Amino acid sequence: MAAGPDRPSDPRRRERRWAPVLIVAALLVVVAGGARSVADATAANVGPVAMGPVHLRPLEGWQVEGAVTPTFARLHKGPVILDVTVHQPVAGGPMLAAALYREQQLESSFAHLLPGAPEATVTSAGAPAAGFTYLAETADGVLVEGLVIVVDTANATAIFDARAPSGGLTGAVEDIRTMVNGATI
Amino acid sequence: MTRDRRSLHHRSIFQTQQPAFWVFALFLAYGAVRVVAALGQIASVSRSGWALSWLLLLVYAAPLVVLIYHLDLYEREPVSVAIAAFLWGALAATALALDAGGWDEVLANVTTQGFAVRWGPSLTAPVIEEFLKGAGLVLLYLIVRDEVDDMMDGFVYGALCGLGFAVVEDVVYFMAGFGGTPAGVLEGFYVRVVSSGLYGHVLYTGLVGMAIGLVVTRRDSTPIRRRLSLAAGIIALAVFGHALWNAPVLALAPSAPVRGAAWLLYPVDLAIKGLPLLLFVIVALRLARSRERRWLDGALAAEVGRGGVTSDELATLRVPARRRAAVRTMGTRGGDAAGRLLARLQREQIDLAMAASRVTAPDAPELIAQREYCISLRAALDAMPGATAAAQSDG
Repeated sequence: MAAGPDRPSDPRRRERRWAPVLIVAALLVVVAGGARSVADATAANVGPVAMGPVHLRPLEGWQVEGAVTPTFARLHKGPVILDVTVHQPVAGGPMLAAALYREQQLESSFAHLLPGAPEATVTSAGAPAAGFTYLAETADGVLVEGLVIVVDTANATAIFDARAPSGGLTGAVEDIRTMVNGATI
Repeated sequence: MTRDRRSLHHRSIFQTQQPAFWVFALFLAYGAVRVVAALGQIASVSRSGWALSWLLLLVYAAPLVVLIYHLDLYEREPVSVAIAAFLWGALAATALALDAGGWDEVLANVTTQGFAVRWGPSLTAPVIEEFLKGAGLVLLYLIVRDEVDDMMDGFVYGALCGLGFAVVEDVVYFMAGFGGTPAGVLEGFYVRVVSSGLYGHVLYTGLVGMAIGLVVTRRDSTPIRRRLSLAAGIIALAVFGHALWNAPVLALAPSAPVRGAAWLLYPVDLAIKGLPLLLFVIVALRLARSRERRWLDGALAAEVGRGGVTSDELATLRVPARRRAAVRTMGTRGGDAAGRLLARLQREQIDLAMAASRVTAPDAPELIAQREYCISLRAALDAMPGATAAAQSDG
């Protein structure tokens, strides 16, 4: 609304104008920027995870959930889940393994699944791999986005299935790719 | 224009001498870079879905902006400040909310992962997001203190900020949550906008803005302690409404794939969670309007007889429909120029009320200057052919 009457300027009053501004700015930085620090501080440190021939080193902030078996481990970081499944090598290679995982595992796990087209790739260690993204809806209506990476070697096939409620996966994709590339299979 | 009168004129957001302006601009620039990068990534999902998302949201948001902007009966907020509020919600608050995503991890770390997935959206997002949007409103107030001086002003800026946030969030949901294809975008638009367009961020942040307006108002003699506690209650209600909306309770929405009449369950499901808060906001807005009317009566009552406003003009001024009708009648009978001049006189009489409510003496220089300006406008109007007859017929 309209401005008030002109008042004689008061240097002390002018100085005080900085105080509320700095307080608001500091609170914004703490709330937005401090989340990562607090999350890392409250996360337990996790050592290497061994599943048969597959060894995975969780990055900072990732935690193991439940028991680790020779064929399965579940890690999570906040709302992002990473399921690691280990099989015998698949004769058809990682593309076939990815298709089988989608048909046999994902389609039965969700009420509604919208998978992306699989793409062939290789890990930084040179192992053949395949990956695809998906959108899904759980039985209780939660929208989920996911990323599957299948790595196939002579020893084993490892399937990394990362998923999070819609909008939550983007920030974790780099972590997941780093862990996949750093895994010993 | 005298110095005193100039001081009454509405301010733009570009108050470069205010520290708050630069902090606001800094966060806004950061938000623009962060949000444009994030939106650019999801645009690659489907260009046609992306374009459709923005088109649909433009169709939804444009009339809502007009509606919100015209809620204040007696004045229009400066356009640049209104745009700044919208941009804070769309860019700065959205970007900072992305950064604050780590609080979901904290919840998972201190509870369980399953609990965090199920309850995180209703426990962390409402508190964090309402804080981030509300902080922008506080910065706006610190930039243009004189433009936010009652609950209705606060609601207008808050609702625009919430609308900006909702538009960007909806684009993300259409592209990431509903697949991003044109069919998915249309489904998302039906679920998130058609079925729930009047609930959501517009209401929550509108309430937060109302609370800020209540605290900083200079029209209310209620002790600050009481206003603070009432404002805290209003903010708590906004956060609770947001939390209830996100909570996995009272959910009647059909499971996918949705077919036929099951689509109608969406508006029913969302109304259960959103309608009570919408009704509350409507009641609060009506009370805020009554409060504004009482303020206008009180501020101008003493001015009747001093020349700035007549009793007939005040009777017209206090009812917006009557005010618009008077301008229309003046335009029809006295010509467009006379209509515009009457509209201007009415705006200046509102400013006269502002000046009167901020000074203690009836002979304060700025009050006299504004009063004389109103008198001169009326004299100019009276001198226009046909204007007097129109004024008499309207009165």
